[in-house]
Amino acid sequence: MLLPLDRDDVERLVRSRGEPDWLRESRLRALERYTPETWPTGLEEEWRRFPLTDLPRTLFIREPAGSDPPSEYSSVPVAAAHRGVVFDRWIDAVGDHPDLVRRWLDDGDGIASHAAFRALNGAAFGHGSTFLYVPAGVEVELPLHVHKRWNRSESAIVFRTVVVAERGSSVTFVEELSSEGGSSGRLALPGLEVHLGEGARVRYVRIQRFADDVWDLGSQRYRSGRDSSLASFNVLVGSGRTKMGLASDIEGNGAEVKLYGLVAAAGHQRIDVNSLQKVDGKGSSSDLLYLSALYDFAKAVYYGVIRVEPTSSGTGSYQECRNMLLSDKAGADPIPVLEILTNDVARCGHAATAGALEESELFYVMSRGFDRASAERLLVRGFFQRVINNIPDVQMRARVVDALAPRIGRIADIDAEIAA
Amino acid sequence: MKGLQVTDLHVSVDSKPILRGIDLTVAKGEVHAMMGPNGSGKSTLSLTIMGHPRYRVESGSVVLDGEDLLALPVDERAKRGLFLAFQYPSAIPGVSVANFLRTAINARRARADTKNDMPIPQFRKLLKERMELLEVEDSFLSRSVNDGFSGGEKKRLEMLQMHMFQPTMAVLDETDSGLDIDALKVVAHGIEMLRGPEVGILLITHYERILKFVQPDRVHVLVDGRIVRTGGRELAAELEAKGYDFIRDELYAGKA
Ligand SMILES: Nc1ncnc2c1ncn2[C@@H]1O[C@H](COP(=O)(O)OP(=O)(O)OP(=O)(O)O)[C@@H](O)[C@H]1O
Ligand SMILES: [Mg+2]
Repeated sequence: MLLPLDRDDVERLVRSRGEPDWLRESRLRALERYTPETWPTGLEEEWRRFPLTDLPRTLFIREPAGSDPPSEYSSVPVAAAHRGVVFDRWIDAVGDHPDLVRRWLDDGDGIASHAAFRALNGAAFGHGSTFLYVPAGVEVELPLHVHKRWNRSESAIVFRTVVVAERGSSVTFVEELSSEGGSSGRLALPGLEVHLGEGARVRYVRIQRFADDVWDLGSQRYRSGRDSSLASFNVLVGSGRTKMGLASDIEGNGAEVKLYGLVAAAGHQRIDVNSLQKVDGKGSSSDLLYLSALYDFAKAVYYGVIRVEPTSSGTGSYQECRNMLLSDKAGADPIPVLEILTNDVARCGHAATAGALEESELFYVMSRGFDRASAERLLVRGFFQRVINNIPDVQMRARVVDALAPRIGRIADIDAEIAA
Repeated sequence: MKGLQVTDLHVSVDSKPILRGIDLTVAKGEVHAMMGPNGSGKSTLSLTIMGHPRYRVESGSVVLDGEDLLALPVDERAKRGLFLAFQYPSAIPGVSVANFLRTAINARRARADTKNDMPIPQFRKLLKERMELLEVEDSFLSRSVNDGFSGGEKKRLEMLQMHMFQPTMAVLDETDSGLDIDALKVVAHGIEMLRGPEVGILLITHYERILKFVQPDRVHVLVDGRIVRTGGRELAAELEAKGYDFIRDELYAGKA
C-alpha cells in the first residue's frame, strides 16, 4: 500500500524550506512519478524476500524547527574552496549556487522495482541533504566527511546526497548516518547520486549506523564517465530493516567501478541489497564485492544483476557476495544474476556463498590462546579485511572499524603497523 | 610431576574408536619421538591433547604439570604452556602473520585485572630474533596467516609461532614432512633451540631423517591406536629399515 504523499505535503515542504521554483517543479515531477503502479507488489525478484507489510507509515513531512539534523561537516580545505569546491547542506547550496545545483538535479532511472522510493525521495527530500561539487581538474586531497545524526523522532529521514566530480577531478567523501532510537518505527529514504565526469576519481564511503527502529529504504545511483574511477563502500551496521537499490551505469570507455559492501547485522536485523551493474563502453570494468557477518537472527539477502550491454566490448565484471553465519538462526540468501548481451566480453562472473565458520579454523586460532569469542572476532575481522584493505585512507579505515565494533567487536592491534 | 602424562586414553571420532588405551609420559627436559603408519592415530592423539571438540575422550586422562587438561578449554591449555604444531595448519585470510603473532601473545598474557600487553619494541626484538633463528623472510610478516602458503612455509610458520609463544610442552605433528633438506635442518635447529630442562617435546614423525638432527630420548611406535613399542633411538632406525610390517607381524602373529 502506497505511503501517503500529496501535492499539499510537497508545497508545504517547499514553503518551509523557502525553495525556488525550479526545485519545486523538480519535486512535483518526482511526485508525478510516484504512482500506485510503481509500488512493489512483492512478486518482483527484488521484493519477494522483503515484505513491506510492517513498513512504518508515519511518513511526512513536518520539517521540525531548525532546518537540519545536527550534522558535522568537515571543512573544505581553503585551497580547494578557492578553486570552486562546494560541500554544503543542500539548502545552503541552493541559496549560494542555484545554477550549479539545478544542473545536477537528475531524474534518471535506477532499478525499476525501486522506482517508488526514488520518486518519494525526489519529492520529499528534506533536512540532511548534501551537495558536493568538485570542478574540473580539482583534486581534493583530504577526505571530506559528514556525520548526520537524527534526534529521536517519529518523522521520516528523507534526504538526498548529490556528488558531482567533474572531468579530471578527484575526491573522497565519507557520509556517516546515525539516529537516536526509541520511535515506534521510523522510515529512512536516503538518496544518493554520484556523477563522475571523464577521468574523474571518486571514493565514497557510507557508514550506516541507525538505531534499530529504522527502516532504511535507500537508493544509490552512480554514473561513470569515460576513464573515470569509482570505489564505493557501503558499511551497513545499524538499522532494523535495510533495503537498498544500488544502480551503477557506465557511460564511457575505460571506466572502472568498484562496489564494496560490509554488512554486520545482529538481533532481528534484515539487510536486503539489490544491485544493477550496467556495463558499457570499451574496456570498462565493474566489480562488486559484498561481505556479510550475521549474528543472532539476522538475515541478509542479496539479489543483484550484472548487465553487459550489447554496445559494450572487452569489458570485465564480477559480482561476489559472501556471508558468514555466526549463529544457526542467522541466514543469508545471495542471488547473483548475469545478463550478458554481447559476445565481446573480457571477463564476467560471480560467486556467492553462505556458511558458518569452519570448526577447524576456530580450533586452530583458539589453540594459540584465544577464547572462542576472540577467535570468532579475529576470523570475522580477517574476513572483512578484503574490503577494509581497499578503503583508501587510514583515518577512514579507522572510522569504519569503529562503526563495525558494536557488531563484530574489536581486536586490538590488528591494523597496527608492527612488522619490524 | 612436571610434564605430560597420558594414561589409558581412549578416544573416538564419530563413535569410531581410534585411540585404544594410550599410556605416555613426556617429562620436562625430554624429547620423545612418536612414529606410526598412516591412520594409526598420531594426529588424533595430538589434537586430543590440545582439545579438539571432534575427538571424544571415552576414558583415560591427560595431565600437564599435575593439572587435568581434559577439564580445560583449548585456549586455557595454550595458556598453560601447551603448543601444537599442526599437521595441517588453517589459513586465516585477512590477518597478517605479524598481527596474528602479536595479538596471540597478548591474548595469552591477558589477565582479568590488568592490561599486560607486550610492548611493541620488545615484541619486535623477539620477533626479529626468532625469525633469524628460523631463517624466516621478512616478507612473511605481512602475508595472511597460512593463506596461500606452500606446505613448507606453513611448517616454518608453525615453528615461528612455537618460538614466539615459548611453550613448556610442545607437540609437533609431522612438522618435518614435506620439507626439503635445508628446511628440515632449520626445523631441527628450531627444535633443538627450544629443547631445555623446562620444556618437553613430543615429536610426531614418519621419517627417521629428522632424528639424525634431533636426538630423541625415547621413541614410541603407534599402531592401530596403541603404543606397541617403546625404545631408544635405535628403534627408529629399525623401523626405517624394516617398515612397520614387522611390528604388525609380531603383533598379530598367532592371532591369524
Ligand atoms: N575428523 C575425523 N573424522 C573422521 N575420521 C577421522 C577423523 N580424524 C581421524 N579420523 C580417522 O582416525 C584414524 C586415525 O587418523 P589420524 O589422523 O589420527 O592418523 P595419523 O596417524 O595422524 O595419520 P597420518 O600419518 O596420515 O597423518 C584414521 O582412520 C582416520 O580416518
Ligand atoms: Mg596425522
